[in-house]
Amino acid sequence: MGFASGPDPLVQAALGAGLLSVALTVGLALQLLWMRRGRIRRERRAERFLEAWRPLVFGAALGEEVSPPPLAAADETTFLLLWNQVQGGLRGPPRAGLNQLARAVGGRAVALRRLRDGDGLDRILALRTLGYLGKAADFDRVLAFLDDRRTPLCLAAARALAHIDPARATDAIWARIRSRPDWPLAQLATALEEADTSRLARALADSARHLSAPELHRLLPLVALLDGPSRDAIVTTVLSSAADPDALAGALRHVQGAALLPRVADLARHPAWPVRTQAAAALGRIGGPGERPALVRMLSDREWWVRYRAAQALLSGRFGGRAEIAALAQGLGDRFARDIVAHVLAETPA
Amino acid sequence: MSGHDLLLLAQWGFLAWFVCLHVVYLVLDVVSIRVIGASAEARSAMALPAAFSGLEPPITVVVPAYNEEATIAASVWSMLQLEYPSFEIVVVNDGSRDGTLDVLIREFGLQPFPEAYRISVPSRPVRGIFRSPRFPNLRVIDKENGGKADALNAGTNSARCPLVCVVDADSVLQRDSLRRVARAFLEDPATVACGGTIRLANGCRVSEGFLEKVDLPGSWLARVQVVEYLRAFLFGRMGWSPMNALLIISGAFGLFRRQVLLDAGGYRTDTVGEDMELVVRLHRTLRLGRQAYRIAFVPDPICWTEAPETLRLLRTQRMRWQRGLLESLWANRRLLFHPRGGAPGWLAFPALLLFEAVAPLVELFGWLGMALALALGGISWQVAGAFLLAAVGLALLLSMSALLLEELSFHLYERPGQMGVLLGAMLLENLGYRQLTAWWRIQALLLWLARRPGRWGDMQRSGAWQAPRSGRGRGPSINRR
Repeated sequence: MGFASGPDPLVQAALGAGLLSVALTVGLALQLLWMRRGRIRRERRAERFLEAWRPLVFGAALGEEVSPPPLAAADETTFLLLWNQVQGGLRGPPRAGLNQLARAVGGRAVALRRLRDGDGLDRILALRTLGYLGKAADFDRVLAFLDDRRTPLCLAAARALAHIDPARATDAIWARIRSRPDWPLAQLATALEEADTSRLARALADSARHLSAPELHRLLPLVALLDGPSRDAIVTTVLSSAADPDALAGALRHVQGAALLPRVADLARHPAWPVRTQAAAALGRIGGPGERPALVRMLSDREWWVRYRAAQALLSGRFGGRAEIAALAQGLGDRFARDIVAHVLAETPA
Repeated sequence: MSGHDLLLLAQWGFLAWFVCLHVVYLVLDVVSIRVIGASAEARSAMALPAAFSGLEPPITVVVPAYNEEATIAASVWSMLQLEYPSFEIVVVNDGSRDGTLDVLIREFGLQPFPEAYRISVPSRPVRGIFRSPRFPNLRVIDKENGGKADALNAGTNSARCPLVCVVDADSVLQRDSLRRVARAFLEDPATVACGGTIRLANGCRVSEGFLEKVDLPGSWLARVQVVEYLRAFLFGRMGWSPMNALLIISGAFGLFRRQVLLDAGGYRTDTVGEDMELVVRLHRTLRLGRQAYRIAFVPDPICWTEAPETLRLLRTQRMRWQRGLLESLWANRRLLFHPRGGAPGWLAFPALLLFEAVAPLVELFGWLGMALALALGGISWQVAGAFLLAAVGLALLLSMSALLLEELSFHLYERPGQMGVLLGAMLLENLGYRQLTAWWRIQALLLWLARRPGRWGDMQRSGAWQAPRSGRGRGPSINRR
């Protein structure tokens, strides 16, 4: 059967497909125009709202007495967006003024309603709002979103929980963190910073021996949020018990206490270069003249990063003056060692 | 087999190809609509104020530059102002014949820097390395000319951060582009590469290296390309991404894990499609090596670039793209239907081969066959009209769905007049533009088959959308590993 020479079901199918496509194209164009019309209308309304409400919100943040007009349902999202944006840039007492404003316009009820019925932006705004308002009664409602499969909602919930009850939030987040590899630590850390870091330290210290190597590697950066003693305790545990090079390198990044010097010096000969790199950097932070020979030896390491960190350590001022280290490098037979010292000398101001 | 049988076979083959093409694109379209919906929360979260925790992975931005004296300073100034806690910029002057290096030295007060340069992947000899005392996170590598791929290899050698962002020197970035694209690496540690949506800067207003106002180009040639880019990125790439089958990350902007880039041997210098070849090679080596990985795509418009506005430049670009596509697929043909090829080897690769690589040939033969049959009386006007209507109608439907996706997600072209212009460009695309570009791509295909060497060609940029720079910015420092 051919379709080259006359009416044929295929030709009719082509005609049908063509007509249907054109009709669908026109339909989509109309839908697009309809959506655009609605969006432009919403945007104009939002502009008018912001013009009127921005002074009120900033006034509330400055502690002024403000008497807001009733909040129309169509303006709720814009209000929450503005209120959260201002909250995000504040710390301390101004937040109380903003919370008072939110209470005056029924902000909590709006947030709860949007948490229940809203879409993506609505729910994120609602979670943030409930977090800033900090009512203990909302903890469990927010907690439910920590188990949501959508990462942005979990992160918003984590932040909110940390505002409502830092101690319980830390426990709740820690209980889930191992089973949620999708939670980006960099963003979660901003939530945990506001949580109870002493509880986080305890949780990390308790788990450090039991975490798998990949888990340890993933979670160790959180040590940066802790105070010196807590940090040292966890780092000591990891350096004494872990064998995984990534975990060792991760722990070495946070070494601050001189008590760990023997272990660090030991790791400066580790077969994995990321460990040697971090060991060189750690020696630069906690070492003294006794570690100079080890660092000089590391200037001739086969890996660029180890040489680089060793040179940085040597030029940190703890192991001799710039001229002395430069002369020392010139005396070395290894061209790579001389080059890396010249590189770091040029990089660090005298 | 008689001539009539052959004709019938050709007709059926063309029909099957045509149906498959549109079915695949419509499926990608539907997938993209779902992706846009699913990423609504993430986009919303990005719209709210967020603090950096300092745990974000540092990024080296590698900027290859060849004869870019007119725009390089503005580009680097804008990159220095990117919002990201820890990044460095490595500009690679690829043996420019103009004053690119002089401009950089003068503008940023560069001084010779005795870098202990590592050669992890080969590149043409480095003549010198410079560093800015004012901006410690800015370095410039001056090397002998070796092409864009070679410059990228030199930049990757010098990169100190675990993530390497490759950016064209004449591209305009969103201020938060690094934050947006790095998200993929934060959310999934298996991510080895990530691309973003590229939009056309023609007609837009750029000031201080950043986009100030989005508008459409003045010429219809560039307007048609706006529709093409929307289609290519909003469902061409977004559709493949959830299947981990994205085979292209634009050379204008892409973020890679440095170690993976080095393990793969860096960019190939013997192809004009080095960006695509690298991504297909990553799929091939990682899949066949049974390694878990993800190559992601961020739909956010994060990079703006200039489209050619003359037929001569457009021809050069399209011939280069076609050749790059063919070279990339040929060099990695082992991925095609390999038992471990997964979605890239069993879906994306054959789709690119059938609907991109050989598409111009099929398309042009389709048009010519139709015209010939009509002229010789083999088919009636009604039959030709029916098939023409189907071809143009389906093409319009795909373009319109791309416009709808744009409205659903980023709605950058806001004025009603702009929508009218885009609708006009959609129509115009089918009346000569498609056929012309198909012809150029066939030329590239024939040249490739004849093993004639490919050339990058001179892509002169007008840079008319760049307003002069007046201010000064400061970038963050980098000192992490």
